[in-house]
Parts: sequence; structure tokens; C-alpha cells
Amino acid sequence: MKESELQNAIDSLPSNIKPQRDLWPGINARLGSVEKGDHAHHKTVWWRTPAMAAAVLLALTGGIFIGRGLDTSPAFEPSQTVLEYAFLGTVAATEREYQAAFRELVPLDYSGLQLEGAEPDALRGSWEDLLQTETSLLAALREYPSNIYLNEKLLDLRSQQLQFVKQLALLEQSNWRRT
Amino acid sequence: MTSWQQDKSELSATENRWVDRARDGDRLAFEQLYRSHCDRIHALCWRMCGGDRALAEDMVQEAFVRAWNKLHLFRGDSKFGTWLHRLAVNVVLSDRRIRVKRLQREQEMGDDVERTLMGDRDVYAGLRKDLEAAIAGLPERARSVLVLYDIEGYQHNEIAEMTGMAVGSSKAQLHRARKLIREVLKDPETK
Repeated sequence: MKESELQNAIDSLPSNIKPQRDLWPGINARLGSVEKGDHAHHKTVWWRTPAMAAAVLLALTGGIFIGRGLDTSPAFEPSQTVLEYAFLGTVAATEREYQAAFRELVPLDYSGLQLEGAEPDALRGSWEDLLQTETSLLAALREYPSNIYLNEKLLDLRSQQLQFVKQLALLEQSNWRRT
Repeated sequence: MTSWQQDKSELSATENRWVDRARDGDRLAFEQLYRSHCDRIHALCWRMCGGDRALAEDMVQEAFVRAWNKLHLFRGDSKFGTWLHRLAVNVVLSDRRIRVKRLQREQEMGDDVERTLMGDRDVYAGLRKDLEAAIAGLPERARSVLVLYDIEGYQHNEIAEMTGMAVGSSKAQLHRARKLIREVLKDPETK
């Protein structure tokens, strides 16, 4: 075989090869036990607090102006802004609660539950459905992060997922008692 | 700007946003980065590990976990994919160094031992008319250099820096790798 032929053959090899299984759950589980560096925390803290303060101040100022009957931009609805802000805060809190619950789920290793009949497959199927919805919803939220409708949907979904995780925890406990 | 360039630029901007968010601890953003780069990193690890699927998967996971831990060190001087790729190479090489040390403790190093550092695979499994299999069957160092130089596009000085070998050794290993592959592809029964 000539050098050039070998080079052509090597060049034709694919640069991407899909793994046979999804490696993300394993990675995600390991991220849970990892504390990120202080650098990241400092980076977050320094701008978030002033930004939140500015948003609240803006909302309150807008509210005062409207209360006094002064002319403001018609598109600007301060009371709505405050509500939206509060709502987005709720979504963020639920998100944190869900992430914490999910971290606890991973050590349970629900895939190893010794359930009888079709239960494990049904559970896995339900969870996959929820994950599929999550993927679509998060993709939409990346485009429209402040969209109230999408955030409401995320809130609903997270509630369902939390419920699911809690049920799994109960199942795991009963399974442990049985064995 | 062509539509292709625009697409590329938008893709890059999106990725930068994911990196920023992941740096702030957003795992969903990090998952997006994983989904974008997983196949490429897996291809690299799979080849570097000589086609050992389980080991390659471990390496991919380790690379992404390490990337998450070190994300605050990524300054954006290069593309995220380039940085991640380099990190994955280091993960595989450092894992190999650990294995080499363990093996050295157990027995003296020899060429046959070098061929089996990544596990108890059949050392002659690569002797088939298949390029991937032939690459998988190469000795460790020759395979690393061939994968990094010919497939991943690193230069000899970069490979030397990453692997700790001299530039001349890197060139020699590449020559050796190509020669072995040619022999294997010419005659599958070659041992």
C-alpha cells in the first residue's frame, strides 16, 4: 500500500463516533459530588445582586410613577413586571429543589430496583417521557427565557418530576425492606 | 457574510453562552456542551484506547467531569471544543501513565507488554483488513501519535508536549505506526 493511499484511507475515517449508550447520566451524577471553584461563585455573586436590586428598584419606581398618573411607556407594566419577577423566582427555586431531589435519586440507582413484572420498564418509560418533554421545553426556554407560559410549563413539569422522584424513593425504601 | 459563515458564527455565539452559563454552575447548559462534543471526544478516546469501548466511555466521562471542574480556567482564548479536546487527550494519556506504572510494578516492560497496556485484549485482534482495527492493534505509543497527528491534526511539537516524548520520537513513532498499518492492510496474517 502506498503512503498516499494510506493517507487517503486515514483521512476518510469519521471524526465523530457516537457512543453506544448515553454517557450523560453518569457524568451528571458525578457532577453532583463536585463543588465548583470559588472563582465561579464570585463571578456569579458580584453581578447578580446589583442586577436583582436594579430590577426591583425599576419595578417599584415604575409603580410609583403610574400611581401618580405620570405618563410612562404603554408597553411598560410595572405590576406585571413584579409578578413576573416573583414568578421567575419561584421557577428558579423549584428548579433548585428538583436538582437537589434528582441528585438524591442518582445514588438510589433506580435502574437496579428489584421490581416485579413490567414495573421497571414502565417506570423507565415514564421517566424517559418526562425527560423528552424537559428537553423540548428547555430548548424553547433558551430562546425565550422570560416567557411566562413556558416557565409555567416548566414549573408543572418539575412538579411532576419531583413527584416521580419521591415515588421512586418510596419504592426503593419498600424494595429495600423486602430484600 | 455567507449563510454558512453566519450559521457558524451563530453556533459559536450559542456555545459561548452555554459555556458562560455552565461556568456559573448551570448543568443544563453543560449538558448542551456535552451533546455537542460527545461524539468527537468519544471518537478520540475510542481510538486512543485501542477500540476498548468500556474504557473509552470511562475516559469520555472523566474528560467531561474534569472539564466541568476546570471550566473556570477556560478563558476563551481558543474554542471550547479545542480546549475540551486537549483536555480529553490529557485524560487518556494520564490514565495510561497510571496503567503503565502499575504494569511496571508487576512485570518488566517489553514490547508485548506495551501492546496490552489498555487491557487483556487479544493483541493481534487488529490484524484485519480494516483500518480501524489495524489502528486499534498498534502499540500504544505508535497508536497515540498516529491518532493525534493523522486523525486529530496535532503537530509533532504539541504531541511531544502532551505525551512527554521528544519531537523526534513522535516522528519515529508515526513512521512506525504507518509502516505497521501498511503491513497489516497488505497482509492480514502478518504478526
